[in-house]
Amino acid sequence: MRRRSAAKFASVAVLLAASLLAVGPALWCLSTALKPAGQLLAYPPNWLPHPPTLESIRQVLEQSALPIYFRNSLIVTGLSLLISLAIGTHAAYAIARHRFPGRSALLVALLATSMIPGIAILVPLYHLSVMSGLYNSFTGQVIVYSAWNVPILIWLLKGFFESVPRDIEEAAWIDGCSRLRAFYTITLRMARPGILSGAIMVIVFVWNDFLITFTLTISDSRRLLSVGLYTYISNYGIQWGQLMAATLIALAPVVVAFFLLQRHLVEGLMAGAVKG
Amino acid sequence: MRRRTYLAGMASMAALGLGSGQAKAAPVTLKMWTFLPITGNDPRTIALRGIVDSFNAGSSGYKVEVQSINYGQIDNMVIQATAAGQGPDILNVYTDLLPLHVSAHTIQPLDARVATMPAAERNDFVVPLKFMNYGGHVMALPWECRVWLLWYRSDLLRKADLAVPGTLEEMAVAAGKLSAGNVMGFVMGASSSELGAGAIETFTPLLWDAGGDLLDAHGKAIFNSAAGERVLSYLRDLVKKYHGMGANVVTMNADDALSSIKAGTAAMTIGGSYRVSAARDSAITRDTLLTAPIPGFVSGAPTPARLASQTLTIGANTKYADGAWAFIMHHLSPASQLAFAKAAEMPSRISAYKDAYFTTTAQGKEMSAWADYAHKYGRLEPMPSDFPKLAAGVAEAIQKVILGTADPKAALDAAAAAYNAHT
Repeated sequence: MRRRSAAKFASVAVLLAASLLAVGPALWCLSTALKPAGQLLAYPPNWLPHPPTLESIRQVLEQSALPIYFRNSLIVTGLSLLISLAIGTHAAYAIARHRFPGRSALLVALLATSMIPGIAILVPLYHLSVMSGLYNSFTGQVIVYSAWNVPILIWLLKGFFESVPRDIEEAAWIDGCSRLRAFYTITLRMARPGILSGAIMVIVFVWNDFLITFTLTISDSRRLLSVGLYTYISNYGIQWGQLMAATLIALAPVVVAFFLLQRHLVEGLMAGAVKG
Repeated sequence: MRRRTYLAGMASMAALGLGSGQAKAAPVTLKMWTFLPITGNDPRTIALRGIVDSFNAGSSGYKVEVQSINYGQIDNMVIQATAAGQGPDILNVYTDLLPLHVSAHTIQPLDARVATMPAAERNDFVVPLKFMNYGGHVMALPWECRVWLLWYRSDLLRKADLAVPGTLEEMAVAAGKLSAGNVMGFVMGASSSELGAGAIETFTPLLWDAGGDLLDAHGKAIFNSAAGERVLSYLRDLVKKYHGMGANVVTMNADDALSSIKAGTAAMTIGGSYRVSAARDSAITRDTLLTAPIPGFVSGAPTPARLASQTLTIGANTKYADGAWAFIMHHLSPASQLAFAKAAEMPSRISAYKDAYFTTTAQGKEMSAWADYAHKYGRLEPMPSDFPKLAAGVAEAIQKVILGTADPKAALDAAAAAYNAHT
C-alpha cells in the first residue's frame, strides 16, 4: 500500500516537474509582457509585475506592424490549410481505396519529400518564386506551405480512410449515391478525427514557420508573425517587454486551436499510429 | 450540387490567394533596404519616415519605398536578391560589412558622383571617405557614425566611492572593488554568438592601444603579437587576478553585456555610442548610465576610438542610379542629419554639429563630446569580407584564456593560424 502511494507521489512529482518545464517559460513570458519597463531587467528579478500593465501589449498593437503580420499569418495559414486538406483528403482516399501500379513507390516517394530538410531547398525556392513572379506574395507562400504539408497529410489520412469500412460506402452506392458524394457525405465525416489532427499539424507548421516566409517575402505587408517577432530584436538592443507581448499574441491562436481540437488530435494520432 | 459548391469554393480560394504582393513598381519607384523598421514609433523610425516622406513629396521625379529587414539578416538577403537580379536600388550597409558587399558585387562605385560634390562636402565626414574606399573606389557614404566608449553606471561607482578610471589598470582595480554578490565590475560579450561582435569590439581598441593591429596590409592576421598577448593577459587578469569580471562572460554576447548594465548586474563595459540611448530607456538605468573615452594602458591617453558607420550606397541591380543618388544626398542633408541626431544617431557630417542643438541640449552636447573623441582618437580599420571568421577566432582565443585552457600567446597563435589558413 505504502509502496503504491510512493509510486503515485513520484509520478505526480515527475508530471508536475514536466508541466513546470513546459509552462514555466510561457508564464515568464506573460509576466514579462505585463511588467512596467523599469522591472524588465531588474535584479533580483520580480516574479510578478508590480503593478501589472498592458503598456507593452498596447505598444505592439498600436505602434508596430504586428497587427499586419497577424492578419498575414491568418490569411496564409487559412489558405494553406484549405488547400492542403483539399488535396490531401482526395489523394489519401484514392491511395487508400485503389490499387494501381506504382502505388507503393508513390507512397515512399511522398514520404521521402518530407525528409528533405527545408533549409536545403530554400535557395531554389527563392529563385523559383522570383522567376515565377510569386516572390513577396501570399500566393507563393501558400503554394509552398501546401506542397510541404500535403505528403505528410496523405500519409496520415490514408490510415483513416482505410479504417472506414468499405461496406458503408458500398451500401451508399447501392442506395444511389455517387462515389464522390459517398466520399463527401460519409467517408470524410467518419475520418473527421484524422482530418482535424491533420489540420492542427498544418496550422502549427505554417503559423510557426520562419524560414520559408522569411525567404519568400520582403515587405511588411506580406510577412508572417514569426518574422515580425524579429523586429523587436534590433541593432539597438532587445525590447523584451514588447517581444514577450508579441510572442503571447502570436501564441494565442495556436493555443486556442489546440485546446478546441486536442481531443481529436490525440484520437487522430493514436489511430494513425496503429492504422498506418 | 455539392460538387459545384466545392468547386466554387476552390475557385474563390484561388481568387483569395491574392495576387503578387510585389508592388508593380512604377519606373520611378526606388526600393530602399535598411535594417531600420519603417513602421512603429521608435524615434529612428519616425526620423526615417520623415526623411522618406519629404523626399517623396519633392519634385525629384523619384519615389522611395522602404523595405525593412532585420539587421542580422539584411546582408545575406541583399546578396541573394542581387544574384537573382532583385537587389535594391538603395541599400544600407554597415562599414564592417562593406568589403563583403564589394566582393559579392552587390553595390556599385560612387566615384563619379562623389567627384561632383564640392571638396568641402567631401571632407565633411566624421568618418573620412578614405575608409569607404575599396580597390580605389568610394563605395558608400556614411549617414551616421558611432564610436566605442567606456560605459559605466555612475550610481554603482558613486556607491563604491570610485572615480571614472583613467587607465586600464585603474579600471581593473575598480572592477575588482565593484564586484560583489551578483554584480560584476566589468562585463564584456566574449561568446562567439552574434558573430563574436562583443569580443572583437572590446579586443580591437585595446589591441590598438597596446600598439598592435588585427591584420597586415595583405589581410593576414597579426593580432598574435606582443600587443595581442598583452591584451589577452589583461583580460585574464581582470578575471583571475583582480576578480573584476566573471568567467561566465564566455557565454555572454554584446546584448547580454548591455542587459547586465541596464539591470545593474554589471558596472562597466565597452559599448557603442549608438546603443546608449536605448540602454537608458529603462526606469532602472536612466541617467545613471554615463560614458567616457576607453582608458588606455598608460595614463593621459585614451585608447584609439573604434569607429564605424551605417552607410548608404547604390545597389548593383538598380536602373535608377540618379534617383538613388538624389535620395542619398537628401538623406545626408543638414535637416536629415538633425532629424536623426534628435533620434540619438550621431551625425556623420562634421558641419551638422554646428547646429544649436549640439550646444544647448544634453543629448546634443554628449554627441558632440563623442564626435570630439572620434575626431581626435578615431580609427576605422577596414574589416575583411570574412569578418565573421576573424571575430569568431578572436572570441575563441579570449574564451580559452579566460577559462585557463590556453595561455594568451598560444590562444592567439591558434586563432591567427586558423584565420590565415583560409585567407
